[in-house]
Amino acid sequence: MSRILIQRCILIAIAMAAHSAIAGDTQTQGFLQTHCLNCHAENEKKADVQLDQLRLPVNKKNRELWTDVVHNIQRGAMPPADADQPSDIQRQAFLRNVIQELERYDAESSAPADPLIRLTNQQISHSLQDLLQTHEHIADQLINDPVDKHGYSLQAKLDLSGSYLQLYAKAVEQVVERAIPNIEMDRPDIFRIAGNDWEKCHWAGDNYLYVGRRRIYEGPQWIGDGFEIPLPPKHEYRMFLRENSSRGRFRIRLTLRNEPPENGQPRTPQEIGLYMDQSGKHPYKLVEPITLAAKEGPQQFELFGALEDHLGVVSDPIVPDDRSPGYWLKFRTLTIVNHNQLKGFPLPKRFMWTEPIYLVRPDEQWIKAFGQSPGLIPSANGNNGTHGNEATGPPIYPAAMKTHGYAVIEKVEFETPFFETWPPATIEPFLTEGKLDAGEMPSKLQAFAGKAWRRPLSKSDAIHVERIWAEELATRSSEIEALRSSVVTILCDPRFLYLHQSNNYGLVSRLSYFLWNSIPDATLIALAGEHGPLEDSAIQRQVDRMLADQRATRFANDFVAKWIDFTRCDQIAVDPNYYPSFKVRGPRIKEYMKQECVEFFIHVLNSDLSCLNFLESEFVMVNETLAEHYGIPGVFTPRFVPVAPLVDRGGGVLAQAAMLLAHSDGQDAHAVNRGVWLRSRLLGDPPTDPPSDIPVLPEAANNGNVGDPVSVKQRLDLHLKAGTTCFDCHKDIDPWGIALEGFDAVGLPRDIIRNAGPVVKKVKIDQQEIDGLLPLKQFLITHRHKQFAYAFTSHMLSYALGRPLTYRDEDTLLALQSDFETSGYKLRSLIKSIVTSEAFQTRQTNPTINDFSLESTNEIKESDD
Amino acid sequence: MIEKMNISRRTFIRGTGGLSLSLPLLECMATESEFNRPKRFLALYVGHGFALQGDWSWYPTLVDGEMHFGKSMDAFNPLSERVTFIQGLEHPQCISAGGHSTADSFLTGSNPTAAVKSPSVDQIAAMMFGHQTRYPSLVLGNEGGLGGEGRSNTLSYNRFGRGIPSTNNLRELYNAMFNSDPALRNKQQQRLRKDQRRIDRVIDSYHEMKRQLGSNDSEKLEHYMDALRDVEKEIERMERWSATPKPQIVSNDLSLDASVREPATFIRTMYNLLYLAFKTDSTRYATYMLQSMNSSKWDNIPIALGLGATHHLLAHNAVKGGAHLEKLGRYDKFQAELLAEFITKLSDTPEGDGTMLDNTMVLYGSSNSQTHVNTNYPLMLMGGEKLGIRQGTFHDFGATSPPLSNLYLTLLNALDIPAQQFSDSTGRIEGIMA
Repeated sequence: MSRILIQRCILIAIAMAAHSAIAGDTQTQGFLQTHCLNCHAENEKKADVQLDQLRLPVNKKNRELWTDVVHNIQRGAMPPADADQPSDIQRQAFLRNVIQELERYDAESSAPADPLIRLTNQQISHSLQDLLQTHEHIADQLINDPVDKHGYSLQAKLDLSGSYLQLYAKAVEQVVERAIPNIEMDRPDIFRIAGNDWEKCHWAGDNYLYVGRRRIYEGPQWIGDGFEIPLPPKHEYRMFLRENSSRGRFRIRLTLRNEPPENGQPRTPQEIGLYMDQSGKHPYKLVEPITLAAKEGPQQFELFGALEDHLGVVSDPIVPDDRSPGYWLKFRTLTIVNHNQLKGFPLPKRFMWTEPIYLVRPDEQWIKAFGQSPGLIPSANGNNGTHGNEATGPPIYPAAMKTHGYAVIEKVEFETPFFETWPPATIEPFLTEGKLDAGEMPSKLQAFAGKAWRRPLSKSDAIHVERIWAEELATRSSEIEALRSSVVTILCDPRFLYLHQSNNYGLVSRLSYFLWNSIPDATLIALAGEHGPLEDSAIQRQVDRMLADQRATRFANDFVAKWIDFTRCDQIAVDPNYYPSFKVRGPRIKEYMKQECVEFFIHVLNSDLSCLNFLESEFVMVNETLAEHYGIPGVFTPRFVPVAPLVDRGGGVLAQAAMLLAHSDGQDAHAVNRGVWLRSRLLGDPPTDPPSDIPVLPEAANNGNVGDPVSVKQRLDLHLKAGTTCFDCHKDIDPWGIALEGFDAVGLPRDIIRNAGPVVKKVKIDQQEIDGLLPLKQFLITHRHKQFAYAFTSHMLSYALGRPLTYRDEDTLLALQSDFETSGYKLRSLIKSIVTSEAFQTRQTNPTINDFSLESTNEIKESDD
Repeated sequence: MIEKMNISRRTFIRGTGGLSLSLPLLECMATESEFNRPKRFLALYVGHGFALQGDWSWYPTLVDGEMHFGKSMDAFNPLSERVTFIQGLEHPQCISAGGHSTADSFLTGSNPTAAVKSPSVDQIAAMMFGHQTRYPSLVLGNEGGLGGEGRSNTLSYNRFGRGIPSTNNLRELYNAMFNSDPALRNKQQQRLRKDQRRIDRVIDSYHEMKRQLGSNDSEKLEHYMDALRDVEKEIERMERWSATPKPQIVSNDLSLDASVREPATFIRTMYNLLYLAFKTDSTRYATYMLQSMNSSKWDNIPIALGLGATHHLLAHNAVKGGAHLEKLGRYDKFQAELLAEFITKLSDTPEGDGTMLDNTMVLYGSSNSQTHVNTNYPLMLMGGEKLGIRQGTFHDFGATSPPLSNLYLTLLNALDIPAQQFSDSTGRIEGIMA
């Protein structure tokens, strides 16, 4: 067919479409008249929706309203169940007409989909980690990406501004400077300390022991290599590291021994947690969990981490003779905790651990001061040993060791900054035989640019890179600075910051940003280099490979963070007056709560379980601290492990504290927010926004005090008065949240709501009475599992595509949902269907569409300075 | 009456109390009606609280409506018409926070446990008008840096709610504002040229990418280009400032090598630098963290002053009264005298239709009334009469106890920031403005 002929055909097609739209208009109006206008005309305007003026064709003004109408009819929410229903044929004819019209309008009015899409902050940050092999994470230094209030991806909407670029360039410069150090000059001093290095590390040893305020003993100086600290269950040993740098990797070498109980019973494995925290904080930031096997002899462990991942310290230079009272707050602590169960000893309620112990080897001075008491002394309760001998009771460890197996610390060694090699691996790609070679540098930089830009360089790209280097070299004082500057320029390039949608290279990039949040590796790039389109089976093999890779945890973290809404969880400040236990372990618990959700997701993914487990499961993922929070007995490990849930709570996301906390106000549960969350995340049916003329609730309704906020309970009561504006929408939102009222803001069960009387959690949904969490989950499993599959599919598809979905995605969604069901709701299978779907492979962006669910809760605020 | 002089801004030289400077001497720039009033704001903070009882009370006592200063504050006697004391305000969200965890929130009103903080008062003003001066704002602190969470060493939080590290490097401050050493300038020039070079290269990439996309226009790519142009403008702005000679000052009152071992000299030099920064219109907004909570070096100052204990401990002991209270009172006095000296200097320097103090609001206070108590912040507001502040009064808001953010909103409005809300404010505060 000639080009002219094709153009004519298109013109005719458009004309016909227009014609049929007009012909269909009468039918469409008839449908609205019969099924909608009873409630949605000027006199009633239920839920603030008015349709009597709505007409085809679609135009700028009515597009959004038409989209809403289609959305509601597509998913069967309208007309409501108690109204006369249109036949299937009528419904489909109506939808066909309107969608055709919408598509015509969108095709004519919107610009074609943007071929570029910006990397998210997380993706930028992880890409830098992989490109520069650094542990540093710059996402927090960038201007926040907006967050969709219903958890869909807004990536297609991401933009950048001058301020964004400046902040970004600055952050990259700093990372690059550390990743590419001046290898002749910058070899850093290494801080190395061993557990028996009293002078450097130990509070009790480094400072003094007091009786009252009288200093009677200065800690021992050095006890040699015969260093042994028994660590029975529920005891901890803490080192104060006289070190406060805020960045760099570290290595910890541990030698532990597993000793049987002294009463002759056999050894048992010991669950050990190694924590690194800011001084004075309770141990919570785990470096790594260790299981000490039940065998004789020393067992060695080597653990790695990055200081950036542990709580900040005051980074003033350390003055050797500093003895000011607050000085130890500047340091980090390393705490080794034995998590095993301790039976037969009462545990204090206030803290998790019984008694931090501080080892002091008796020397002459000690014996003079304290007599021949054992070398271990218990510290002050809750005072972290700041006054070494204020113990309130006798130590229990000697008795504990009789009946319990215990760990023995033989050696602890801490070292930072840690490099496997010097020059460090991060600079290796730019060296020629261990040296900087200006002649070789263009090709080194070209290789780097190819990785960063995620495709082989074209000839002009290669020349471009060469020019960057030549220019920098001509103007800089040193080669190393020219190198750094060139690397930064390559990373500020639009070819790094934007994903390009075309061809195989675009596809493998999309795949790796979906599952790794980062650049494709060599295998993927090689795959993309094959001629012709990639085969589905090849892509699916890559999915398996990629999900098995450590980088896939970034996907789990990022997806779950959006789906559960971690941003909101972070923003809610729990009121310690309501929840005193939160004052002590708030930050710890909150992080663990979020981790629970991620670990649950990973467990479902890795064990290839059904996603219906998200609705209700026979396991929950908890560590010891979180188990204590929930009141689940018998968890004695710092690891997140699957255990049986409490019978009155069950599993699944609705029982997870992070979700319950994120949708509370920090004092009380928030039934409306929980309802909205459930509708959008579990049912794929986000309610429309409240109308702009939302009535102001009467202030001071509480107890007559002006300024008292209206309580959640009062708000709910108002919503439920039939006939009010609130009622029309809230009747479909609140019940979902009210069913969760039996759980407070921190996710614990309750019968009484503070200041508001007994919990009411009985609701009616679809004519069924539902009384609280367990029946709600049963209801969802029985009656709404298909809808959940739809919702989960839509969130995953949106995440994979990096954009919110539109009515145009309906067919894709239904097909994916059906595959998902057939697979037994397997997550891995869903991911595979998505990456082989046409939507993923061609990736159309429709940035103008479907704005009803897109308002950002985290707007980018820019000023024009 | 000040004589109007028709004289170029840069050549005018005038001596003032040991300092002589050239630089936008504002009072001679224009006629009164044209006087471009620099509306300034400075916040000062001391952690752990003040002595508030008896003879050593930081608050004055009211006798027949007149303020009578206690022993710690008698340096303010000559200034009683220029100061206002405020009682009964606090950040409601901080009340249940840790006893030493409220410094981060002092100037932001943020919930101390929320991950996202609000921008601080000075930064909001700097966002709006900071471009008018060489430095949008100055962030100073004796301890310096950011400090740990809850134990901030800075009062300033940027528009993304992130802490701005405070500086305690006297010489660097001086260099940045007043040192015209060509080497220093060269270094900055090099930096700007490097940025410009980088932009040129990525603009090439922009064109290359545009060519590859062909007819497939990308709005995103155009926005990227717009962003580059914004950065270029910023580089231009910096270049313009670097082309504008720094004000020349000759001073025999700046001990730029002072250290924590000479606390009075150190603080006095900080105040002098602030004075010069304002005087030369190098900035209009500043914060100065005099004493962080749980600080390390500066917590020892009272020991150096012969008071026998750290500031933290003095504050804890003060509740026992008697000699303990007096020790904290003596430390309060140490701070008050340095502050009064600075305020006097501002009020002695003519500017436009009045004095520098008339155009400068200085807020001084703490977020503990006594140590560990996060209510009823001791606050003092000085100067700013030409910005509409009513001075020489003692406000007690205890009866209604509005959030402290209401005061901040009021001050922001006085700085011409048309804000309707600051953090958790519920409205403007009554009585502060004339």
